[in-house]
Amino acid sequence: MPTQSHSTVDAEKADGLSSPRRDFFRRLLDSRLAVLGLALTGLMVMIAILAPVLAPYDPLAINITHRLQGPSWEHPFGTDNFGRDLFSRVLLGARLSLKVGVYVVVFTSLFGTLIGLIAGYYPRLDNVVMRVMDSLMAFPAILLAIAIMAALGPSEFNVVIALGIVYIPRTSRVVRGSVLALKERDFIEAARGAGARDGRILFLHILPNCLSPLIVQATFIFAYAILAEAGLSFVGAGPPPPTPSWGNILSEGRSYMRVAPWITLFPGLAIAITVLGLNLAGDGLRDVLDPRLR
Amino acid sequence: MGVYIIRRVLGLIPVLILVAVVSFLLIHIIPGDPAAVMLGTDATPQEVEKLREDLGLNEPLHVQFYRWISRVLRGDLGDSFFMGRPVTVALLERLPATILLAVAALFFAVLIGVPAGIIAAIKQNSIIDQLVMITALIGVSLPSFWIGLNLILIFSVNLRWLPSGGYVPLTENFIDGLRCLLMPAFALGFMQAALIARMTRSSMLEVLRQDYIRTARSKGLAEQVVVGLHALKNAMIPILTVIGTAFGVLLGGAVIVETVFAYPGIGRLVVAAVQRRDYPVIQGALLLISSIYVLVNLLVDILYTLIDPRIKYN
Repeated sequence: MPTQSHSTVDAEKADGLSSPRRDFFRRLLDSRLAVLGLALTGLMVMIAILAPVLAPYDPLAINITHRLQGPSWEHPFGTDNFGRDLFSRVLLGARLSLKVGVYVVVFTSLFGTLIGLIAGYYPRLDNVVMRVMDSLMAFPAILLAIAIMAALGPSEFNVVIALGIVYIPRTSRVVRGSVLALKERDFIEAARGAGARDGRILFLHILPNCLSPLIVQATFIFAYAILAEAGLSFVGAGPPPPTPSWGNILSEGRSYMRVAPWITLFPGLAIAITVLGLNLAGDGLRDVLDPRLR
Repeated sequence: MGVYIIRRVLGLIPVLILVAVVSFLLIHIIPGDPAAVMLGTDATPQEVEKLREDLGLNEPLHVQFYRWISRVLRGDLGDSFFMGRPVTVALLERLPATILLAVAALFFAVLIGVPAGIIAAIKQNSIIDQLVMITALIGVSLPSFWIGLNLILIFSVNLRWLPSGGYVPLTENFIDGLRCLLMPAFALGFMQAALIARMTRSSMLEVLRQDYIRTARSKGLAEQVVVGLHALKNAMIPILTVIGTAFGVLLGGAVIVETVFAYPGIGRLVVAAVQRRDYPVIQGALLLISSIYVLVNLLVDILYTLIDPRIKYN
C-alpha cells in the first residue's frame, strides 16, 4: 500500500497546500462575523464556567437594606427586590442557561442523529418514523415544551427533556436528508459491495459525512434552546427558583420594572448577546461547512 | 387542482391523528398517578379514586384513547378543573384574541420583513444592506417577551402613549383595540420580521442573478417592474414557506407575549393552567393550536401552486 512520505507532507505544508481541516479554519477565520460569533460564544461559555469565581456576591444572599438599588460600582447591575446582587445572579444565570443549551444539543444530536440515520437508510421505516417527526413539528415548539413541562414538573432535567423532544425532529430531518443523498453515492455502494454491514456503513461511512449539517444545526438549536429556556422560565415552567436563570430573573423583575428597570435589562441583554453570538457562529459555520444551506 | 387539494387534505389525516395521540399522551407522561398530581397533596384517596374514574384512568390505554378521541371529534375537550366549565368553550372564547394577535404580528412581520429584504437584496453590500442584515440578526436573537417588556417601559411607563396591556375587540372600539394590539403584535412579530427579511434577501439575490432578469432589464423594463413583478413573484416561494411556518410559531409564541401584556388569549389561559395543573386545558389548547397550524400549512402549500405553476400537483 503506497504511503505518503514525511517529506511530501512537509513539502505540501511549505507550499501552502492545505488539508480540509486547515482549509476549514482558514475560511472560518476569514469571516469576521463568524469570528465575532465564536468569540461571543466563547466569552459566554467562559463566564458560565467561571461564574462562581467571578461573582462578587452570593447570588442567593438576601440583603433587604440594599433592595432595588440602581447600578453602581458596588453593584454593577444593581440589586433586585430582595437586595440580591444582580451582576452575580446574571453570571450564575449564564451557567444554568448554557448548561441547559449544551444538554439539549447533546440530547437532540444523539437521538436526532440516530432517528435520522435509521429513517434515511431504511425506506420501510422512513415513512412511519418521519410521520411521527412531522407530527411533533406540527406543534408550535414553545407550546409543546410548556405542555411537556406542565406534565413532567419544573426541573432542570425536565427542561432538557422537553426541549429535546421539541428539537429532535429538526435534527433528524437534517440527518435524514443527508443520508438519503449519501446512500446513493458510489463509496457507499463500494462499501456494501465489499460486504460491510449496515451498522458499519451507517456509523463509519455515512455518519462522518453528515457531520457538517449536523454541527450547523446544533449551533442553531443551542440558540433556540437558550431562548426557549428563558421563555419557559419567564412563564414559570422552567427550572424552579431560587436557582437564578436569565428567564426567571426577568420574570421576577417584571413586577418591579417601573421602579427598577435594570432587573429586566441585564438578563435580557445577556440572552441577546449569547443568542447573537450563536447565530453569528451558526451562520459562519453554515457558510463554510454547508454552502447549500445558505 | 381539485384532486391535488383532496390528496393533500387526506395526507393530513395521519398527521392530525398523531397530533391527537401526542396530546392525549400528555396526561400519561405525568410521573406517578395523574389524578393525584392534578388534585394536589390535600386530596383524599377517595377524591383521587373518583377523579381516576371520571377520567377513565382505570381503563386500558387504547380504550381511554378511543373514548377521548370520540369526545374530541364531537368537539368535547373535557372540563376544566379550576374554571368548572367545558374546555372547548373556554378555548373558543379566547381563540379570536389569540388569532388576532398572531395575524397582527404576522402583518407586522411581512410589512417590515419583505420590503427590508428586497431593499437589502437590491442594494447588496451597501450600508443599507448591512444595516438591514445586522438588525435582522439582532432581531432573531432577542426574546419576544424582553422586547415586550422594553416596549412597555418606553411607550407605556415613560411616554404614556399606549396601554401596557389588555384587550379591546376591534369590533367594539377599533382605535382602542389597535392601541392594545400594537405593542404585543410588534413584540411577537419582530423575530419573524427578521427571519422573513433574511429569507427575502437571499431568495431575491438568487432570482436577481437569473438570466430572465437580465433579459427583462435589457428589454428596457423599469427596475420597479423587474424587481416587483418578475423577480418577487419567483422569489415568493421560499418566502411563503417562512411566512407559513411563522404563523404557527406566532400562535405558540403568543403564549409568552400574552403573559407580558396581560392579553386575554389562549396563551394566558395555558400559563394559568400550567400553574394550576389544569391538564384538560393544556391538552385542549395543544390540540387546537396545532390543528390550526397544520391547516395553515396546508393552505400555504395550496397557495404555492397558485403562485408558481411550475409546482406540479402530483
